[in-house]
Amino acid sequence: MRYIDIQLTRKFKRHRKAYSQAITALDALAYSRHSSSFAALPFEARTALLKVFEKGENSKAFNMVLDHTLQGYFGSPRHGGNKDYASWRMLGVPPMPVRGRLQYSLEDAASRGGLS
Amino acid sequence: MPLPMVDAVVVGAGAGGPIVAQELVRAGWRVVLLERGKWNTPWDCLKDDLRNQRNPNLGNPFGPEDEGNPRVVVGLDGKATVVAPYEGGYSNNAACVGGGTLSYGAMAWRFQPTDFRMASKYGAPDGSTLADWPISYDDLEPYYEKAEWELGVSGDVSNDPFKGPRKKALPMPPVTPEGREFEVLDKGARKLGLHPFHIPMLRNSVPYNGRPACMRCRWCVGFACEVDAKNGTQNTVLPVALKTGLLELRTECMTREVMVDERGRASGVRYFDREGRTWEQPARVVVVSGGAIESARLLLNSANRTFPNGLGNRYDWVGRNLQGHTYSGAWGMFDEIVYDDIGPGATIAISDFNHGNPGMRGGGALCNEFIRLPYQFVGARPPEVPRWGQAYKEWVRQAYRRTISVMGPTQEMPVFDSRIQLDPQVRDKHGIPVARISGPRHPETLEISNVQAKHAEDWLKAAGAVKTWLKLSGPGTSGGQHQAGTCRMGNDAKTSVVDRDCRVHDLENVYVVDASVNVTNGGFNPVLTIMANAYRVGEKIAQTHAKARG
Repeated sequence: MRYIDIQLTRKFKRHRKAYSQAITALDALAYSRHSSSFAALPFEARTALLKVFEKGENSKAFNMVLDHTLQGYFGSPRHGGNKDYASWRMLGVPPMPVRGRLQYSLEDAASRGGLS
Repeated sequence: MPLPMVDAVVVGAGAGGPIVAQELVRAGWRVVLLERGKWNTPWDCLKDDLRNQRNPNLGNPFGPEDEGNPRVVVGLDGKATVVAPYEGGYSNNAACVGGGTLSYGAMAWRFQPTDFRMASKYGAPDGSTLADWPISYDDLEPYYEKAEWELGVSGDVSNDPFKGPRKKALPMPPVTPEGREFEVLDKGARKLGLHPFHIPMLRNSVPYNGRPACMRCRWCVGFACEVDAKNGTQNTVLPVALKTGLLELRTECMTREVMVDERGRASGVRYFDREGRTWEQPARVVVVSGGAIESARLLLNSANRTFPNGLGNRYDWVGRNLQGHTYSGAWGMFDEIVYDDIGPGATIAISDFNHGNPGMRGGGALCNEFIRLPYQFVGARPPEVPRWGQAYKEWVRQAYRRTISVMGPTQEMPVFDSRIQLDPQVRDKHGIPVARISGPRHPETLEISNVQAKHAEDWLKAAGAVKTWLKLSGPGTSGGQHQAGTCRMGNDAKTSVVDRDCRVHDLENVYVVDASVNVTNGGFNPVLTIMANAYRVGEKIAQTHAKARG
């Protein structure tokens, strides 16, 4: 989530409209089926709704959000997702060894609260 | 503003341009090399898995810059979209000193002799402009060797019975040990009676040319090498040529057009510098080396009164026959862990199926894939695994270290309507009309690549994969980093753009030196062929336009 939030202020600026439309459409779907906002639903109901959302007229928006989510989840923590390399550890891939300053952009490190 | 006259101006410091420049400098020429990008170094490479030349989700670190360099892509449905360099369909190649060779995977293939005479061997299928090259493998052989030794290639192709004749072995052995995937696939290939061998790479496996050996890290294709063990033009020929003082490299300079005088001779080029100022660089000879998309664009953008359709375009062939490679292959899942996290990953290949497919026009090499980063595994999912959710996550967890990918570049059947044009409306930040990319792949290309995918699957099964699934390609426009074909080399000015020496028909002193001139693109990564041809043409230019000594 943090990855997407950050990128919506940077590289994904051009997708802002698509995001707000998708969120509106998803909530509309949630209200029509469960009289509730999407976020307030239990996990199973949300999953079921997303499966409906994925197939319908919003499939393009769904695909975009899915792709961005995978970028955040599997990408480097420097962009705000994949906290403490959680996905890399799950895969058994050790986080990159520190070799010189090449591994880090100091600017990114500062925004994370220092080199780690 | 006109600058002092030089012997040659070379446009583009990618795989081809610096080599031509070096050959001209060797002949004592004064040369100016213009590059639109910057001189990036490994120190600029932040090892960002979402911002690299392979996965430019958040942009391209080595160019072109994210903003101000759009292209227009026309889908098969006729819908035109303006795309940025980091978006799909753009067919980006890096724009920096070294071009793609700064951050490539560095496979260093020679095409096979048959690749230069595809039409004689197979005949052109309907709807394809398949033709022979006007030069043969033998014409290029000495220059392949020169590229292998001057830039530095490691590997061992002695076990490849399908290769063209060669006089000298590669200067460096393969990287050792090659890794678990090599062992597993080597056994599998031999079981099938295939002929596996060690992929040749422009990569130091031992110290060479004053730079160290590959340290086998995870950050390879798409990234600049941290220890400078990958050999591109930026760390080999270019520093040598610059040291002579005869070559001047000007970075962040975008060429607007080739200037042609009243007599139909090129007088130099007009370009924009980094501040947007316009300069005129007069030269005796102009060499265009911008890559298959940008070189075609430049020739078209150089239209004038004498050549109203663009340079070399009297018969409407500039920008035609855009091709690349159709990559297809298969994934195989194994019971045991086969991923050992050691770069470069791609180590083993077979070329049994470059021309060994009965009833089909060619094929291509098959190789194991480069080392992967977690995000790059996203596309690896077999069709029955859901795209998201708990089941997907569980599958990734199980599969990541137990999966091998084998794929390869299928040689494409050129299509006349796959092409680069100038977009009538969209312009770049300098106001120059941008490339408009359109046209389909040939259906037979897809048929061949589907057969290649089956071969990959068979190989993985023989190697012990317990489950396999295919990775197939779609019919959309080809191009990409292996972009080629748009300024075809040929003997007949009516069906090509440049002659066998890569001189533009109609113009006595303009040359194109990059994959644009490739008639067909082989079943291999094209970079070593671009380099070899650049050596050949550079030498030829120096002879043809010999400098008056004074």
